[in-house]
Amino acid sequence: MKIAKIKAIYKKEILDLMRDKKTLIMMVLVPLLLYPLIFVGAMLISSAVMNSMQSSEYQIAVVAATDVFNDRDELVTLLEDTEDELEYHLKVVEEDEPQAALLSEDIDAYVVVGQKEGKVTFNVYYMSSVTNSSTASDMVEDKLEIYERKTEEKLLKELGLDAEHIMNPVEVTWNDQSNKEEKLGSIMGSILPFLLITSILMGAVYPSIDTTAGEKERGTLETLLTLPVRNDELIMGKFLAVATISVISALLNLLSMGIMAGFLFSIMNTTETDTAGLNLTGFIPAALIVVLCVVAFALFISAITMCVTTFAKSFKEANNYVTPLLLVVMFTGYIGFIPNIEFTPLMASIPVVNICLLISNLLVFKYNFYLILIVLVTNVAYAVLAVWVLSRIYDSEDVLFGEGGMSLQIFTSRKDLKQGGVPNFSDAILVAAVSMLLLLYVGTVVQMKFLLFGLLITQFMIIGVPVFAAWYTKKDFKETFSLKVPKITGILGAVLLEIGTFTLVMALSVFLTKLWPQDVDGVNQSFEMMLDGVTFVPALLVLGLAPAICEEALFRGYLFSAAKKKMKPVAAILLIAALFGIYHLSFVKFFTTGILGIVFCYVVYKTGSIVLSCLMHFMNNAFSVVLMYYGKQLHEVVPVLFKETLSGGEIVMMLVVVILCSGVGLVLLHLEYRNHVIRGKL
Amino acid sequence: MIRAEHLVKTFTKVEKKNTKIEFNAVDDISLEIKAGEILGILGPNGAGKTTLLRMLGKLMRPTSGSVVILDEDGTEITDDIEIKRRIGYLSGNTKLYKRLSAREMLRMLGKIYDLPEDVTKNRIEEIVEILKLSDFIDNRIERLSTGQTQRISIARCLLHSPKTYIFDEPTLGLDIISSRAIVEFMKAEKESGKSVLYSTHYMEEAEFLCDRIIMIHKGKIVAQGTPEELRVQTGTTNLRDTFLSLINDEEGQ
Repeated sequence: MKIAKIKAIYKKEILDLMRDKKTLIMMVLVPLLLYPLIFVGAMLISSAVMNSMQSSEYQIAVVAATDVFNDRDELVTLLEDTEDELEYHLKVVEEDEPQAALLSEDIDAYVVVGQKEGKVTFNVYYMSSVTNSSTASDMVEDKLEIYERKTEEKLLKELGLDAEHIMNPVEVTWNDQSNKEEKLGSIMGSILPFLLITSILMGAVYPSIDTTAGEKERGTLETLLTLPVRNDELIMGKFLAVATISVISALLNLLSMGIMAGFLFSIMNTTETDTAGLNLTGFIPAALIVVLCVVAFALFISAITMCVTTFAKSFKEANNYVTPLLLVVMFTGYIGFIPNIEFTPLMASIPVVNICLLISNLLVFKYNFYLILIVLVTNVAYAVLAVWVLSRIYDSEDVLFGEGGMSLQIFTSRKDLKQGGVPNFSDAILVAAVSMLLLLYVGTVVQMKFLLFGLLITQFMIIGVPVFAAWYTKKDFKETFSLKVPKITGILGAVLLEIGTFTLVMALSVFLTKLWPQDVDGVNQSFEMMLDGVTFVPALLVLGLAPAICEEALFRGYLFSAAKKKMKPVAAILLIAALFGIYHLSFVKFFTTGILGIVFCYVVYKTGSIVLSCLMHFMNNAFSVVLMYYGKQLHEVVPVLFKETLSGGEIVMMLVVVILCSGVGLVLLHLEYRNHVIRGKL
Repeated sequence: MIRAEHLVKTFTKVEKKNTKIEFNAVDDISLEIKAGEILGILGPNGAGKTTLLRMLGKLMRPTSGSVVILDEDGTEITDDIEIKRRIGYLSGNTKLYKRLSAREMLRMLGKIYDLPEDVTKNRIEEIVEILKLSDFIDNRIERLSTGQTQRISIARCLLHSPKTYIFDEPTLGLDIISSRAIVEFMKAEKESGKSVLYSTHYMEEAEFLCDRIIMIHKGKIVAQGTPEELRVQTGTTNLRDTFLSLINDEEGQ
């Protein structure tokens, strides 16, 4: 690589980008105006709300017959009292027909004082559907509490008792030992990562589209290709230019946020005692590290975004591709809002998550230089990897000269689509992302709320997404979901292969459980909670049958058929298996379900029948359900299944089972379907 | 001098139901252009002209076959980057950076062509003189007329003083004045001993310009020679008829 050439490309890109008004707007104007506007807007709204609450007087009426209540004057004084700490005014008005006045909103509430069994009763009439009325009722409630308290005190005094002592027998004082800076930091720590990540991403998207898809759209890419410049020099120059713009826009965002925050605190310092004496200089080291991380993250995000936009031929197309990426990154950015996530080395190496957690940790003054180093190094490493991928993409003549093969049919009008075929790879990416997001955000919630039924809902969502996508894009259902009746030998082969695989996975999970015991405990606990009071058959249906059909339809059906069309069979199988592993949201399960994924994909690839992978998936899950319910009985028959450590002999025995069953199963599948794959190609 | 041997480019077309069809857009083409010669590549749309020229210009990798440039001292250049450095490539798809001024763009290109800064500067002045660009060389390209833009494109090809030019349908869609500028330019460069490889489907233009013509159809050479030779060979009076007669022969077989 020649530095001079990279510099020339870099300078050209920067000049080119800076001459474009859209870049300048995205980079400078948006951050500089956005935050002040947000803050000023929020202040205006809140002060408007405060003003309206303070200025308006709520009209209430008091109905009290003198024969039951002779303290009316005292009550009115209390209600109209503005000396107490409550920030509002109540005005007691005379009203002969309070009910009618309330309904016509002439008054906001009225109180009827009565008597019942020697006690004074207050009936408050209000309308919860009218904002003023419901606020007035809250105020009356506060006032009546004060009245009640005063009355209690009076009564106790009359009895000659120490009112203060009886009414407040215990005294609780809350002492927050966090200093003011830490308090501020923890609030900022939940919002700042999200804002920063979004702003870096927004800063990267436009220049990234402009330098990749834009170059194709304007027809300058071919000019570039005639030049004596190597791909890696070209990409380096472009990448550095995009990263520069993204860093600048992120820093401007930070600066704008910082100025706005400083301004707000200076106002608060004069008006509110809570933030007085706040020492903002404490944040300087944190801010410096944040800047470093922002740069590393901008490198990573720029490279990733460019990888995506390079496939597009035009701005419009590039926007379509970037949208799923935006969603994924932004949703991951929400992790800052989740409290108490521990910042571990593993977390520090997950992209996006690591930056969020690092920033929120820095803001509460937790400096762990080992973790900071991991975050920086991994981000740079991911960036390098992404740049390498990008240079491979630029090597592909299909991408450079082609018709831009990727296009999202899901966003195309349905009547323009042709009937038949299997889904596009780009549609499949979207389907996978949507399913994953539904699982993460809807699935976890419904499962917590409705337990086993929630799991069933989740499964319906999982099958719903690909079925809808396939229907909308008019795909051939038979081909997309590999709907084919298997042959008897195929079934036999699949069953044997599953027995072998299950044994292998069991042995593996025993091994992995030892390495990461917490992980497995968590999964088991949630299952126990879910199955509490559920009998065997419904459990088998929901945990065994539903996933076997729904998950297979998504992974081995829609996604696998799309991946198979795009890439080599081995790559497609590994990709879908990895997705299947990730989908189980557990570190240990990633490996075990990953292996299952490989086997299921292979069976569908070999036989073209999803029925077989459904059968195997069902067997696999059913085994687990049986173990949960009839574990004790089984324990007596085959104790090996429950051992936490395996002896050498037992390992050999398991291996024999694995090899024998899988081997025979594979041979059967091979014999029965040896012609399927070849036929499919022709 | 540029020499191509047995160039083949295979593309895969994806048809319905996962079936892929492979076909050769360029099917075993060898050719050579000498100094001071204009070689015309003629063929209908889809004959493989653009793919052939892209391979010669090293924009595309051939599936098989090789491209060599012979320097004046006889050294053989095979490295992609070195070949690109010795070629001026112009096609309907080689657009310019609209947001830059012509001078800014040429300076950037100078660096990429490894020219020292003062050399680039002097060369730009020379080109401004030759192509009469002084009125608009510092304007942003987006503000120029089509004809002016075309002259900047020629300036782009001239900058690094290549010995070989590859022009892919350079006059396509241009008005008479702009296309004449290109034609004049090619003739002038030929006179000064450069090699010009040029594709078109304007027969009259080719007849008037080319020293030699290669006719290709469906990726294969169907005939080659001087315009005169080709006419004699097919017994026709102009290139248009020559071409049609050759294509008909091909289809008839």
